[in-house]
Amino acid sequence: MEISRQVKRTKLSDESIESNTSVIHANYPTPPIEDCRKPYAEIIASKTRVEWDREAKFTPVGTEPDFTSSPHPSLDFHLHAMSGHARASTLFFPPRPSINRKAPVSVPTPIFMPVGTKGTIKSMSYEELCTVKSLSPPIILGNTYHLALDPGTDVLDSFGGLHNFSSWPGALLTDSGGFQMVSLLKLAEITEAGVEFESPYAKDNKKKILLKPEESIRTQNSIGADVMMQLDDVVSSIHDGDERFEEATYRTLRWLDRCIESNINKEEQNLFAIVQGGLDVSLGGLREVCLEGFRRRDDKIPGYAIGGLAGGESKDDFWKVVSQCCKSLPTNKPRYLMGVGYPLDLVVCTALGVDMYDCVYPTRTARFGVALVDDRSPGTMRVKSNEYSLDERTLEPNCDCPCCKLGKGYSRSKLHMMLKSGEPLAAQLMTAHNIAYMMRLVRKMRKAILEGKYEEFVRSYIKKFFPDGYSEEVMKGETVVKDNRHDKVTQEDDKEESTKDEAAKEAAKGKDEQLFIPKWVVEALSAADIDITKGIK
Amino acid sequence: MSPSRPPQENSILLPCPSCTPPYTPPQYLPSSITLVLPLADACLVPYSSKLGYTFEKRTAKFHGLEEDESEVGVSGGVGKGNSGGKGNSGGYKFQQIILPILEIPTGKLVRFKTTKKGANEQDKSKKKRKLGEEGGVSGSADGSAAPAPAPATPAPATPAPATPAPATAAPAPVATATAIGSSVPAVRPPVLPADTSVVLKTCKFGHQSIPLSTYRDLAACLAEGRGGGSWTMPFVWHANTRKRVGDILKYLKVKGADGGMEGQRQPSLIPVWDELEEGGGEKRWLIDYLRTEADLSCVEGLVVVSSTPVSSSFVEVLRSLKQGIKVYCPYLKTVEDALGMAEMGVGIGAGCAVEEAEKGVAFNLVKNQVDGKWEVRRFDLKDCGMRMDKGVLEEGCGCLSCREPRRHSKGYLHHLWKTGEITGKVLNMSHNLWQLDKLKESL
Repeated sequence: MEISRQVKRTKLSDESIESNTSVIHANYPTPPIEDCRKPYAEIIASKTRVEWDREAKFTPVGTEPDFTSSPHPSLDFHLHAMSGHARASTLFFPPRPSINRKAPVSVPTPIFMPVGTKGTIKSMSYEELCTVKSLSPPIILGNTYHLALDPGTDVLDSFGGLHNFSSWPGALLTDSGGFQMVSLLKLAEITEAGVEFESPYAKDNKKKILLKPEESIRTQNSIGADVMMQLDDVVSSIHDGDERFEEATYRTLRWLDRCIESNINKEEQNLFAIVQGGLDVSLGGLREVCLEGFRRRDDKIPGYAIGGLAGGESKDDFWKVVSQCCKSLPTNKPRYLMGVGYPLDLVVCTALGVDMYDCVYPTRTARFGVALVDDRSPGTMRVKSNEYSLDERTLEPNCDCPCCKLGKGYSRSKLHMMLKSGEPLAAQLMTAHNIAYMMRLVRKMRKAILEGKYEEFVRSYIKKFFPDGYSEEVMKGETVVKDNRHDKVTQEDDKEESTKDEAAKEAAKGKDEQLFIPKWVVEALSAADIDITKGIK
Repeated sequence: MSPSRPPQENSILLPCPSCTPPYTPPQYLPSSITLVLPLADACLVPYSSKLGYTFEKRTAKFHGLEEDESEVGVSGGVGKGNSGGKGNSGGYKFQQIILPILEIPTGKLVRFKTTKKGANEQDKSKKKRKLGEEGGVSGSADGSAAPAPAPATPAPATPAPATPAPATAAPAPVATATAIGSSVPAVRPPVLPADTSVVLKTCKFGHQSIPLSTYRDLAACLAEGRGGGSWTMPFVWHANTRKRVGDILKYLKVKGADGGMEGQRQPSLIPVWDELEEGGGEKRWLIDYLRTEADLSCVEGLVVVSSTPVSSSFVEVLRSLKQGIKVYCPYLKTVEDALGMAEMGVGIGAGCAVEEAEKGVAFNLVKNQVDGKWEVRRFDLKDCGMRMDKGVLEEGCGCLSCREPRRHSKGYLHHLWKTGEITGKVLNMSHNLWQLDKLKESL
């Protein structure tokens, strides 16, 4: 039986699937870990950092893309400028007759990619998203796992991909479904063959679906995204078993080969590799092994992603992994940090050298009534709070999103009332505001980098974000600064219900807490050669 | 006199349409379309819960009607508001007499919540009062069972001496408010705050809360000079007693006679109820009232508060009340009903477009070339048969869903519906509104 049918929820009726999957599992034996280590013995033993292609080649902004001279016909990457380690670049995706795209699509970086899990950004219409200048993200995300369930590959094939299906004119990136290994772990079983999910939909009667790397790529080929992600073996970063991390790292490399093999649309679709390896940033550690594996396959990989983060690990571990990967990854290929989307994280990680980000945080938190704002020290505003029930101001005076309209739009009190009564209009307006906020942030960062003033930008941003400045005590670890801006946001949209009390949790946290610059920010920025303590008390 | 009590700290008094400086709607859209809900809601809730006002008292004072006066006498603790003060019956009144059920934009009925605790207190205070009264006469204005008004007690029966409220610019008979158990005079603003009279600026489509994009579509219609207007309308109360209807209409009358209070705008639309009570007695009474007593000089239109179509004879009766008066029926639930009413020349609202979209139904209105009648073609987006459908809902439709270059297919709309995305409803609603727009143009 054709395995592609297994992904289709509606077609899961044959009992033969169960027996079939057991055959498939037998075809993919897991190699012993010693055999896996052998090719990388040199790296594991050595004490030097894996690095390749570190020489930057700059092109001026506005250079026309040339896909014939690009090493990958599906992507032309132009690095324009670096300010410290921060990079401003442009990704060009080629014209594609199959989706009626006549001119190349350009994606300026640093870029935040809003998440449209099931083929739409929740509550926004694409018409509005494209035509409103303050929004217009050049690239958005889709999720392979969810799109494979609904509408299904047969529909996507019939329409000619997600671009045509959802009438999205910009670029698209699809996640492979690997993250669902973490988010739906209770329902998933990971074997060498692939990931076996129990369908999360009750009506399917707990049918099992096997998502193989080949399957993931085939689905992503059906979706037709400009950037596809390899299926990687994701382990939650707070998992405490080194063996599992090691197995996952080597499996990710093996699966990458299988993914590259099964990509049938190399001319139009890029396949990005995902660096795994837990939080092991030591020389000769798992991240190094993974990077070395990629170095050997570099000619087949148009871009890289840093994965396995944003899963609840401490910020101290988080920035170290990002920093290490950015130091190793080649300069002339894009870098994408998966699942990261808090404004502060964006600023810090851009300083470390990341180009692309995605997260459901801005859009999800909007629907729960939290607006991202600049002019208020915690950086967020819970509009549902009674504090705003009589506030006639707009969210931000200088925001030109459809909600604020430069101070002439919807007042906080109106939004408050609408959120309280569950009006879809409120969700739409808040989402628009938060997307506009993120787009404004990345545009500001790009401008600063192009002008060579990223350090100044970081300084002014941090100063606004942490009004109490810098404290020696925090650095010594005597006072722990709780970063109360954001609650943990799982990347999974289908768990939305369980996080509905997010706003309530935020409300419970102390308001009067002093906001010193956290230790990790100081350390991460100093790794990016920015001494943030200078000039800030 | 300052309007009652100062606002709570850290809160801003919500500007209201009738206050000075006058309320100006946000400018990002044509001023002729503004949400009604947030305004209504925002006015009522903060005033009642935060500033200690209760809505009803204000109306009572304003009307200056006899029975209302006595109510004020009883509940006189106006100064305290409903903040839970002992013996304060403000909350009681708020719950029992007002209990406003507002038509809110999505067409749902929302009932104002009052806490159970408050209700108990009110009951207790009621009992206490009864015990304390010597010759307290109780009895509601009309014997109707449903939420009846608070027992009307003559003012002198209250323990504290009645303190006349200052009669600044108030309609004459208002000056008898008292405060229970305190010498603080009941301070009521003489001018009815805006929350009883919502300035409703809307286009002909009515005043549903619809997503931004849809508003933009409507704005486009207006820009092309296809109708639209600005009206003032009092709250649409779900009135099921004669008294309550009377209150509102008398209030209108007072305003009319007075030439409008300071900063007040004349209402130009007034609500009429088609389903007041079984048997239609109330309806007759209402019509009689409108015919004989109500001052309709500045009223431009009547809004029928009904989710089902009304008979043509009722429409005729309404039209006979005043030369050239318009009749609107914005709360209909199905497009067929709306079509029927539109053919009678009745203004319809966006209600049916929203209601149908909530159910996952998109409709096309097609004019039959032979007899010139409009026909409805429905699409049930829940229908799995649409899964592969690449066609748009209607070629040439200018809605968010069908217009170039998006041209969202029925298959995509089905997918959005199936996955429960809000976007689906937004697109669907937009389409339905554009279809209704066609109707408006042709009628």
